[in-house]
Amino acid sequence: MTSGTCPLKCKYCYIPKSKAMGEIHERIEKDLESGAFLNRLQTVYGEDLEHLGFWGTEPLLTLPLIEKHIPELLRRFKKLETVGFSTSLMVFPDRIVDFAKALVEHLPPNRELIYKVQISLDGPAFITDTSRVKGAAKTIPKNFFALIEKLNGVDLGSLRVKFTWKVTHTPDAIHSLLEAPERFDEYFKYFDDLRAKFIKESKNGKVALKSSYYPTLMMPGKYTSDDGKQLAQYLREFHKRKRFTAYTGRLNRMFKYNTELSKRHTFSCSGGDSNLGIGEYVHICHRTFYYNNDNYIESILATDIENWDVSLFQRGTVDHIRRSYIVDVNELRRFRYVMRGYHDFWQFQLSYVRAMMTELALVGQVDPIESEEIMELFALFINSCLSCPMEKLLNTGSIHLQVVSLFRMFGNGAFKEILKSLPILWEANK
Amino acid sequence: MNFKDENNAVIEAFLERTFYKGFRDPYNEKNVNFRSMEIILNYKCNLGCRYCYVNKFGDALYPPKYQDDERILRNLEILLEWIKENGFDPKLEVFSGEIFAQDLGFKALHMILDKLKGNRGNIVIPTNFTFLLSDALTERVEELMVKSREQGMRIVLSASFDGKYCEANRPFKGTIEGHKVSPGGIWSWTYNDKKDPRNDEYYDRCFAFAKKWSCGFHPMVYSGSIEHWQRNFLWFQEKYMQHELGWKNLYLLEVRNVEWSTEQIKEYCRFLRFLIKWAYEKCGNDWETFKEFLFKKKGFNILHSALSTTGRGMGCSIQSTFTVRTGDLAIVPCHRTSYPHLLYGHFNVEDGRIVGVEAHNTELWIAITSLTTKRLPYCVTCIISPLCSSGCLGSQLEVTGDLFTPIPTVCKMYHAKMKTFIDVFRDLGIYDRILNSIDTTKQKALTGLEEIMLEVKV
Repeated sequence: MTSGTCPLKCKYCYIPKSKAMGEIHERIEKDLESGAFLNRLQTVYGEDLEHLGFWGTEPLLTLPLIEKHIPELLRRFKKLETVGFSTSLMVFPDRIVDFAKALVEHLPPNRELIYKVQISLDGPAFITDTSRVKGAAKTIPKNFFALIEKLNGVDLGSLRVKFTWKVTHTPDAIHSLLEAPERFDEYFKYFDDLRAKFIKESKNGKVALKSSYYPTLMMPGKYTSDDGKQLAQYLREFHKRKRFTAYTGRLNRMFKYNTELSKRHTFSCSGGDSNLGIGEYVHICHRTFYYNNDNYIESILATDIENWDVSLFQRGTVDHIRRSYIVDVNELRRFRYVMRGYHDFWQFQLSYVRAMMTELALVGQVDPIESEEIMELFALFINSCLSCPMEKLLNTGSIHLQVVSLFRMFGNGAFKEILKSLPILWEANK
Repeated sequence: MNFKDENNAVIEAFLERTFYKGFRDPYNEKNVNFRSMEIILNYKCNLGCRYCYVNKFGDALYPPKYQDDERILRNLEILLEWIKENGFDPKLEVFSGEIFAQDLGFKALHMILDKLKGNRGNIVIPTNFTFLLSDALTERVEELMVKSREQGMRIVLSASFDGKYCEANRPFKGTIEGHKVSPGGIWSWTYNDKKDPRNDEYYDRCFAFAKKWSCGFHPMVYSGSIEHWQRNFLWFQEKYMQHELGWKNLYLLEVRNVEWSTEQIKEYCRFLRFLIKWAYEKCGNDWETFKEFLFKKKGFNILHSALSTTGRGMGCSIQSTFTVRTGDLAIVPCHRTSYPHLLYGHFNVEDGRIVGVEAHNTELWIAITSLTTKRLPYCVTCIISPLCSSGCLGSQLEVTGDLFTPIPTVCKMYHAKMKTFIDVFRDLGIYDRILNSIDTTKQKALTGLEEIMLEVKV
């Protein structure tokens, strides 16, 4: 956890904002300045830390504070392979270059490191400017190419910098695309142009931009069966154009590595498993970073923000999470025992999907179950490709139970569209 | 429909197909898993049992603001009207801390009998039997028993009573350091002189009452005082004989809390060894008689549960009971899991009438109703899962932080129990006969465990 505040108020952000976050941010800054976070990382991981991500809100706000500790970071964690974060790129873009320079300066010779930067960008103005902030669809690429230009002049040594676009679509975005299907083409062109420009302007062989810009859905969401039908239509438009979302990629992975399906953790989110959220305490992931702050919780409970996560901020749920899923290092043994149960055993989760689908089909909220095979695939898909233990915990009180919202979203034609898109993907990959 | 309406529609349809159907036609065997309704009045009790979740977590399970007598009675009346209006005749269980330690309990039971006149479902009430310490209260309870029988809606008392030598686990609240008991009111007996009033004369009254009103006893086998259980069991049998109660009429159940230490598990196994041998001898060392005791008469429950199969996915009644907390008309998974984030839903009330059910946790409702414990994390690969009564979801939540993750010490206790079964059945020369009397999954589990035992024997 490296930040506690954000200049933006994105529509789909899973972090409800409040004034109490200012105080949290100040504490985080002090923590980063003192370097205490390094000790906590070492307590949890020993010397085995391989991947380090900076999460919270906007990581660029505090990046210079971490910069000071790069020598110590690299000294303590010799197995470190990647360092990265996800940013809106709306503020302080230069800090990304400064951080890269600092890494290069202290990286011992012959030691490789990947610096991963994920940039949130949802598409042209009719999407990004609505879901994030007006002007973002122009500002973000402008900032991006400015920093690419700066990186062109930096000798990165054994450091590689990898950029990816993080695309999130809200139901509003889906609706807006479906209203005028030619916008799908506009959407693809927007990213394809950015890609073409990057190829043209990036001169540093150590800097890369991931070619795919697969969108994912805004999670969480209070989705209905009508939303699910819209999603199916939206996916159809993608696949018609031989374009894909993250879901085709994830399902493809399930097929490709089907012999590994018994190892459930290979396919699900690594939160609470190989990946932990480290703040003052240990979390499943970044999602609960501020939940152990009383003032923050009180301030959120007192707001009337129209936000899915706020509606889940009920005293009982938050208390449960605080008691059992935000833990001191002394409690890691219990925590890991429970999370192993989630990651390694999924028969219960699979059979629950069958029961829930049966109930939903009976009331016409999902398509009738056509065959056992499809049902089985759906259960595997929804429990691996869409599995978020925190989302489950917040909605159902249990890390094991997939939220009903996603059954409706993917059980009304969307899953079938994804399934049908696999041969198109395989053909395209040829 | 919006998100909320869709959730409500799922639950309404689910209830129509299951519990509502069962409540309308409770005597149809097809509805056997959906005909029970548990009504939780409050969590007020005069005892502070060391293993009791009400004692430890009562306020979290049932917020005190909802435990107001007037509110409970008002909501109970609404609930009963709804039962009547819909032509429901469920088997009722009325649950509280100790129902007869409070005036509310009597009022509620009279209200149930009056409002549901004509219904035939029994009313099962767990009680700690401390009302028998007071002649006045005993008289009031007997009045109710008579009334219920006259009406054909029998009140059946189930004695939550551990026996003379395990009473240390069930102290009066007033005798525990730190527990504040206000004088009078529902605490019509408080023993501030710290002397437990439950003497031999009282126990005789309990057994005489049980004989008169055909009450069952369901003592809890807890890790604390486990070393006294053999003596305690023999005491029960002595009392049974004295009061002409059938020796098989005892329902024993292990407390599946985290506290089981290795030493206590060993003590428990010693008790089991004694219990099986005692019962076999009581059956005249005759296999057929023992078999009848074990399978048909349910072997004190504790010997039977591992070897028999229930028609549900879980050993306890959480899947087959519709549980309502009267203070807020919440529908909860069970009395042990009614934490705020786990509430299934609540009744919507308009103008004093129930007009529908609002779902809170649709996912959990469907998951618990459909789950099979053998599929739970860790259990799915456990050799004894077909034999295991499985953990208590509430206890698991409190210890591990997850409803569905087993408590390792409880697992250890059940493994030791099964190992003891194999040892003792072998000693008695009936092991093969036991294997031939149980289903193949259980057979495989027992023989698998036996193989391991033989391999690692030193």
